[in-house]
Amino acid sequence: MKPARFRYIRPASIDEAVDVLAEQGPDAALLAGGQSLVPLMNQRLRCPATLIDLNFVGELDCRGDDEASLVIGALVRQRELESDGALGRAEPLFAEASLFVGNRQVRSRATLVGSLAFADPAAEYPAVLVALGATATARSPRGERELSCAKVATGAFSSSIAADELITSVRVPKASAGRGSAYTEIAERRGARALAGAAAVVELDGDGSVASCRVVLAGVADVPLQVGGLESLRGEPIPAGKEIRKLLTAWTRNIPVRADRRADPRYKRTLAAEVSISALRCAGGRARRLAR
Amino acid sequence: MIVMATEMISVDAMVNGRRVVASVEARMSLSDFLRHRLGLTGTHVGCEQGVCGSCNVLVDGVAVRSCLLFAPQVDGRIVTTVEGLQDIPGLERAREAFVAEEAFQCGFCTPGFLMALAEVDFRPGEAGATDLRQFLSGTLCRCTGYQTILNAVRRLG
Repeated sequence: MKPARFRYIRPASIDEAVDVLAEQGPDAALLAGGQSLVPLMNQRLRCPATLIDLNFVGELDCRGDDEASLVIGALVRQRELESDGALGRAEPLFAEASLFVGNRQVRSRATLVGSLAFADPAAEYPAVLVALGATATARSPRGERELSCAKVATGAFSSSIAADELITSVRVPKASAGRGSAYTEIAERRGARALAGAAAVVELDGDGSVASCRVVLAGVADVPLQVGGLESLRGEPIPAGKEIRKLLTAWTRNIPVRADRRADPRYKRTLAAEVSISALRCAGGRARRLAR
Repeated sequence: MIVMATEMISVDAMVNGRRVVASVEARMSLSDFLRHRLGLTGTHVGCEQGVCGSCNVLVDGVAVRSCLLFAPQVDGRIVTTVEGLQDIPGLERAREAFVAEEAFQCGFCTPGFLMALAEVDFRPGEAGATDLRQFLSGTLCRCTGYQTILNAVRRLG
């Protein structure tokens, strides 16, 4: 099918983009990679009155690299997060998760920030960003604000980003010496929507005890779901596999899930337990090797 | 800033080594632009949802879905379609490998596979080391003739 008619606007700077967005109101859509938006427009599930094409805003195609963090602009394509891209080399969790995201041609256009903003519950990158403790920077006529990526999605395909706001970049804290991470996923096929995925990040202190530990599930609930009950691991050595299994099986037993025709709630919870166990074990093992 | 209502918007791009200047409706997809305006019907349109990969083309040397780009987005860019394959190093080899392995049944998906391969220039031994199933997963063959396609790609490296 073909998309409905729309007004096409091509701003040349962030300021212009923010002005146009405010002026056009909630019937406008922002176009970055377009790999989620355009299929919906082609099916006329979305018919924005105005399409604001960000692809000519050079400022959004930026990568920053300071001591503490990586800054990734809204036009940075997911291809750069793969193992042979600069950002994939800088943050291996991106590279590992990329193996499960769509396919190569889609990743060549799709953006990391777009995936965060779109808030698809089955998307991999939002869970990865939450696990890494990343923040997003949003601009509007009211100014700029920085918010945790964990606060972006508020439900399936809905977010706390206001209609007049534009996420310009995300900031990802850099890996410390003792940080290990892992992403794993179960889907019907490689590149298909996640039935359940898990991103795990474990940081160890110099003495090998857990400094912090985060596991975030994709495709399980309406939003990236942070696994709770992991605070007890802090200050202790990484528990044995059996302990991890006990902890996560118990925790996933009562989580809110987004069931669908491919997975009923019980199956979803089983998958959530399995992927989170496997991601946490793997991240723990990697952290131990890196800390040595 | 370019502001356009539903009227026509101009596109100035290089397509298969030729400069193309045209005026299009903003909502026209790149695939429709190539097929209906430029007569380059080698780019096939299967699903128009980015799933099947039959419409893969190169934009600035990178393989992308032409059904998910609007024609005005290639303004100032270099577009290569399956008709421009002779200009791409290694692609003649890919075509020969597809012929040698008979890597097509109905042939509808073939341009998409060739364009997915067009952006990589496999060095000897490399195709064997790459996860080719993963690499080719973005393009569907509805005849399910994947084995011969894999065989053809293995010939490349």
